[in-house]
Amino acid sequence: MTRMRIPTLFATLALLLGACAGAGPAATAAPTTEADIDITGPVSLTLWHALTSDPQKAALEAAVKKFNDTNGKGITITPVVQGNYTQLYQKTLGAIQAGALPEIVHAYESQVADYQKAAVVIDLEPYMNSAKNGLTKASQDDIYKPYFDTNRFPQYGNQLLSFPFTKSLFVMYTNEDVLKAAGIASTPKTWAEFETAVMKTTQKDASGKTTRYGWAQPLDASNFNAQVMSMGGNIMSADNKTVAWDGKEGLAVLQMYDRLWKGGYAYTPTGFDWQNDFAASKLAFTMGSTSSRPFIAGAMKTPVAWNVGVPPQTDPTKPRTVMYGANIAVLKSTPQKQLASWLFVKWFSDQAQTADWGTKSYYMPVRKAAATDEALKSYWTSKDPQGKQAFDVIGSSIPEPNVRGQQEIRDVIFDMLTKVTTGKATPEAAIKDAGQKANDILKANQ
Amino acid sequence: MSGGAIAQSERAASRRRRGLIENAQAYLFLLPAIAFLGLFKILPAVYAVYISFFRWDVVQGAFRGLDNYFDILWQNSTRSQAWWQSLSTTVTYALITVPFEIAIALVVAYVLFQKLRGRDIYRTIYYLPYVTSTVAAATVFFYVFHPQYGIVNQLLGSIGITGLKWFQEPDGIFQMIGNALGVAVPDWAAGPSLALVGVAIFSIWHFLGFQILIFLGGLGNIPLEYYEAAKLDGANQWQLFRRITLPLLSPQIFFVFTIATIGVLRAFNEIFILTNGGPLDTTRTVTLLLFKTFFQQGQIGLGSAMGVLLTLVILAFTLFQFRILGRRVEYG
Repeated sequence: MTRMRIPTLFATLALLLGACAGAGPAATAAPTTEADIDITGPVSLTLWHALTSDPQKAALEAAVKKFNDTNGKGITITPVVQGNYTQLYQKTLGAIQAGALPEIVHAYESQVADYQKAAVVIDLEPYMNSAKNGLTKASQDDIYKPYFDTNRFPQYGNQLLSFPFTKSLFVMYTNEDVLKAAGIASTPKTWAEFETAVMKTTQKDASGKTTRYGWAQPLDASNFNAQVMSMGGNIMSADNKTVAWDGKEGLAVLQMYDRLWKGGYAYTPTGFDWQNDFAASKLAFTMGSTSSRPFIAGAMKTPVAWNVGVPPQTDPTKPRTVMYGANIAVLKSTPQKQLASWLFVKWFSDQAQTADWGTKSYYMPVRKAAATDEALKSYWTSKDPQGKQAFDVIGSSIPEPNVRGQQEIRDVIFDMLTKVTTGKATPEAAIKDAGQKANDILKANQ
Repeated sequence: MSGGAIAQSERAASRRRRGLIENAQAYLFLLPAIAFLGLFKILPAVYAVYISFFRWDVVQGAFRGLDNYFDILWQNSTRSQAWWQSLSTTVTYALITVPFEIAIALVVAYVLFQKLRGRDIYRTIYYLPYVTSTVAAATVFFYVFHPQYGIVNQLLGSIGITGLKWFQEPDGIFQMIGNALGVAVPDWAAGPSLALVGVAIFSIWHFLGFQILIFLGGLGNIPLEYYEAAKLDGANQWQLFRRITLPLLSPQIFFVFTIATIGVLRAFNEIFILTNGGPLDTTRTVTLLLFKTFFQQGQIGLGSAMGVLLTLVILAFTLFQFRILGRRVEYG
């Protein structure tokens, strides 16, 4: 009898165990990817970033603290400042060599592309599309498309290797008081109107020395790219193998620089002195990042009427400008840590967070729905009307290329602009030489 | 063996043992420094040489042997052009910095060695820039030489010199002087850019204190009797300086010359802050090129090869100095 009981007991036990094992998939779908797992215990993450000063640094630390306190999954993130973007890049390259990476890193697209050469960056697509931990279709559609475009990398099969984080846009700042004093009724919409306005607002003393400039333009590849786009040109050829900014639109930009610099209507600022000139109404126009808003406002000793908007266009009905700014990437670690990192990235892009980020960091919110956030609306109305003007430009923004060699090409463009504005080369010669150099760089990187 | 021979042998063995123990103790004391140098200096240097033999584009790639070196020196036209231009800028920077630095330091030290009222205060003032952070000092300098608001241009403006762009000016200084005088200066004689001269002025000002300190130490070691004897023989101040001070200060001059040359060839911080290698690469020294290749372009193998080449250049300069100038030094 006893001999019979033991096998029966085992058989019953086996059946029970089998039944229990089979009950799982029936109750919930089996995990299909690492994006669909659960966080099963406390997870500690490190976020390396380049926000070295307040208010951005404080805003990020406050956001991280809020996430740590409210995520309910035991996820704790420690934000660590690693210096400016270049220093952060150096340290991340070092960490890749040492195999001691942070879980989350703040980076420009070209830097993300470099990190992925070591295959250490996680494709966020499966996480974003995870039924369990991802974003719904509606939620994804609420994020401005250019923010996705800039974070997909053609050289890595269009993988979503990073997510928008500290985004800004190329815009034109207009001092309305200076325009009014010069008898100009409204902000110029086309490049021809702009050039006329720059000349009209420039003031010179009896000796011919300029006392008020029409335009101050820091020389920078992104600014040039934005101006080429706004003139209807492209930055890269369709196959990404050659540059396209060396065409007629690029030449038109350089010729405009040449005319205005030679005529004493425009100047290349040193450091951030253009902000003081603008705030003191010694300058009519400048163009650059939307993130300069608080610094310009802070430099104003007396109230000045000013606005922010898309740069002048060849076709104002289809405005185009450049999207600036860095992103956030999740680096390879453990499935638990990768998921926890994604949950932070996702939380950070939620409507409430992105709206809050817009009010505290001066970076752009990433969601269209942020415009309906009461706190953000109230902030724009009371403290930062130019913030709303900048937000309205997002839809016209286009990301810059993130192909390999882009960093070197930026130096080539910078040299080209310097040559033209210092009279070292004609626009035609400068753009021909720079285009050739840029294509050589692209060829060497293919 | 006699008792005396045994005793002698034991004494010799004891001496050997003592010698061994002393040697072991000496090595023990040296060990921390050797370990530190080995870990943080020699090992990274050896590793950089290893990396320089590979295509190391963020991660280690194919073995290239000496191809990275050949690319930099002549094979790749873009790379080699950048390298030779940067090396030329580096040497120019050294030539316009080191001689002036030493000459000014020598004169200032000679004056500060005299019995002046408030001598210690002057010595402190001259030394202050050296102990100030290079980055902080360079940032202040940037605004001192600001084209629109800088005090230097305001002072120059009062004597009729206007519009100098300093760290933004790619034009050579001889060309600028020629233009001002209405004389055409060919490109090959344009001279260093005003931006590079500006960086050199900063470098001279910043490092002067260190050299003055070394010269003051040297001046203190020259016996006063030499001067007294020479004065009795009717020597004037110039003869005292030329015949006594200069020869007896030659070890310090040689030391300062060597250290300053190495320092200038390796200079980075001040150039990075003041010009970042611009305008139009006229201040892009080898260290700046290396930094951009390594950290901004992620070309680690090429950057390491540039580092190795720069080390060889510095070594060649130092050997040259020892061979040519070392012979003229009078030690005691």
